[in-house]
Amino acid sequence: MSGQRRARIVALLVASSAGEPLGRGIAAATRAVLGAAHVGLLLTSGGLTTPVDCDDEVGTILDEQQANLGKGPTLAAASSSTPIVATALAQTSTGRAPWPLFSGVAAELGIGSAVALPLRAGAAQLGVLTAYRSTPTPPDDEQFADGLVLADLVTDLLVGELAGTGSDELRAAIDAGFATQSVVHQAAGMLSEQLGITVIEALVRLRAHATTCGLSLTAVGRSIVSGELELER
Amino acid sequence: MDADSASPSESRTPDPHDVAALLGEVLALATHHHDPSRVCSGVSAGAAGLPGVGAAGVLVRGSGGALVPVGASGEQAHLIDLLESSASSRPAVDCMDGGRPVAVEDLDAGPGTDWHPLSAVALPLGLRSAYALPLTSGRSTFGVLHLFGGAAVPNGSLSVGRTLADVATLSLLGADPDIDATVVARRLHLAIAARITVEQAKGVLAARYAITPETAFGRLMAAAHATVRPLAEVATAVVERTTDPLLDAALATRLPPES
Repeated sequence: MSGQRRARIVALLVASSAGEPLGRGIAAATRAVLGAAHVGLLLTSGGLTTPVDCDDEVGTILDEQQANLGKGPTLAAASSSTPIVATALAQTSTGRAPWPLFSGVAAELGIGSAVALPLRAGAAQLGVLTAYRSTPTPPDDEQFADGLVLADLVTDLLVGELAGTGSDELRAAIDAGFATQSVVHQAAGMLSEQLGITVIEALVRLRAHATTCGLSLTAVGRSIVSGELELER
Repeated sequence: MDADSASPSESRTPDPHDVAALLGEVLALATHHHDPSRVCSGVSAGAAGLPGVGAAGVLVRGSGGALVPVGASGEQAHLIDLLESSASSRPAVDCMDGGRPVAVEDLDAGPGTDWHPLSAVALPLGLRSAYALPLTSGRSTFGVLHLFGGAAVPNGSLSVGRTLADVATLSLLGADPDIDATVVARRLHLAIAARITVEQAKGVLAARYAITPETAFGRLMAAAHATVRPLAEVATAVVERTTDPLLDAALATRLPPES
């Protein structure tokens, strides 16, 4: 069992983030986990995309170029909500590159492969984390598995950040991760219908309420589902 | 959940006709539609109907290493709690480590045992036994079919359970024996995301129609069947509030047992 995997990545993320702004910490962890040369982090909501500052100019340019060209692994991850691994980006001459224009840009910047991980909780999509690597080969199985864990943790972190619980509570936010609690997701669905908001906004509201009241996310979820608790619009 | 189905008066061996019908049904779902969410629910419901079995669920390894439910024999809150508790308890954890079925025939064997946290949830539901049957791909175990009974579950039911576990594996990972670990990780990630989406959709429908999450699940399944779409796709449309008259009509329809 690889419960240690999550613990290891949490430790790495905590170490990378110490005293750093959120984006920089996430980028440092992504470089370590996926062997990335550069990192892009985009928030997507309601068709709009907003870059999160990772202090990585090349990563930001690569994300932006995809938006300009309308194609690329990051956009594919966003639209399909599945992890995308793009390899051999420099070898555009093979004619098999799915994103020839973007591949050209990537090759110029010394990028050989990219791993684009959607940041999602069920149907709720928050954004995409992209690791740009200098090697043309895909990440190995271990790296990829680590990357999926990292994406889950980053999703939790960003929801915590949006809920205003602060990045200094990094470990607490991650420990209170909602990744797999059914009742929390049912509550988010209910709240989104009641208040006419998206499920991500509902998760943010739940997290903020839990933090304000010093309750666990699960406890808040249960009160919402049972109808004992109603949150105001 | 129906712990009473484990009463001693009942036949202790699965009826061959029932087994054939059950396997036919879940295999048709697994091979004709790509819908792991429905197959895992169907496999769980089928397992819970076997002699001596009171409840069942499919759990798979999530990206963090922990087991996560992706299908249950029922959608009642206490059953989901039971499955979430079993994820970190001994039968499932040992089964994942050893790749072999693990049985705990008496959850009430006394305090201080490794499965005590599971006992605290299972015993009040009248469930005294727990079984974890492995879901395997090549040499690695990626999940379990978890069974619960009111008393020790007969071997015949466990044998059928193992076949049902194989059907769940087929649906989740396909039939490729050489599937690589990255593809497995991706598929499991998707199966868990699908389940989370279903939970969110249950919440949306519960609030919209003032029904229980359990009833909402029934409507999602019926709508998936009526529109010939995978359950996860229907759930995503609900959560994203995609306008679709056909789907909306199916979701608004009361089902007979709701009355």
